[in-house]
Amino acid sequence: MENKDGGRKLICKRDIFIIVLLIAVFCAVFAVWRKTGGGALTAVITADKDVIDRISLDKDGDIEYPELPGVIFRVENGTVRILQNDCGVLTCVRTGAISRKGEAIICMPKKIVVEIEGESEGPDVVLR
Amino acid sequence: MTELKPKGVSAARFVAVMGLLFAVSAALNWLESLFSAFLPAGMRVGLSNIVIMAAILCVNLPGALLLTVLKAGFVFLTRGAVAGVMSLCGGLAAFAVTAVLFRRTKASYILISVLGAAAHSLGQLCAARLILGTMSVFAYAPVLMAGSAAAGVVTGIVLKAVLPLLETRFLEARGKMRK
Repeated sequence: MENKDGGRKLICKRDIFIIVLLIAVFCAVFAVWRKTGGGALTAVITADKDVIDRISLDKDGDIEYPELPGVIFRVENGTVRILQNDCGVLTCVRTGAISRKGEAIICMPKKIVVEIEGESEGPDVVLR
Repeated sequence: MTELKPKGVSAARFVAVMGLLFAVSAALNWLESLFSAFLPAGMRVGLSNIVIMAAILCVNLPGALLLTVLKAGFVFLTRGAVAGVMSLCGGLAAFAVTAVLFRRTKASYILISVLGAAAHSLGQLCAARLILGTMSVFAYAPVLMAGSAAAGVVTGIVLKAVLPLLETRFLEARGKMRK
């Protein structure tokens, strides 16, 4: 096969090494970034950059919002997930339940973000 | 305006090849949306990126860039504005990375397509970051990176396999289609 790209291989040892290294570095960075937060966790629901609600993950139940028709959130055993969404893409539903600080559920079509916040973010109580 | 068409290739052939490559990338884009439902959330194999990489190797860089933009346009029409912007950002990032690696290095096909897939994911995450205004989008990064590695291996192998066929069947002698 004669072409200018002839010297190029499908894969070589050095490249396998590079790929594995990249994945390892990436996982390490992420592990540091995502610290597991203990205590009471809150799910913050945002749509198009506006905060719709903050829900405690302690109370189980299904939640709907008039601002977000067709979307049902479910809180269960300290986790939250999008149970139903009529967006048609369903990436958010397939993301499943999240329960740890730093995790998120995202629905691009409806610009919905569900983030988990830990105790450390903002004061719990302000005493005067 | 610099001419888009590589030298030594007739305009008719260039138009035919570009039209063909775009049709293939659009068809692959649709095809993979059928089975990406079985993959973890947000993941796609990126089969249509094979076409972009083939265009970088067999046509030229402006042609490949044009295909990237057209592909984003196709996504815009079929899956909406948000998906279109995501596709454009991911596509441009992947194009930049693969173009530089193919032109400047001897890196293997699989490494290039893995890095291209990773760049595509990161480009999309950055677009999502801008659209949604939250760093939380990067929570999807680990699963997308692992997926990129797997998808890159698949697309790299397919690219290597189809390249000789593409050259002999559609592009005459290879030297003519490259600049």
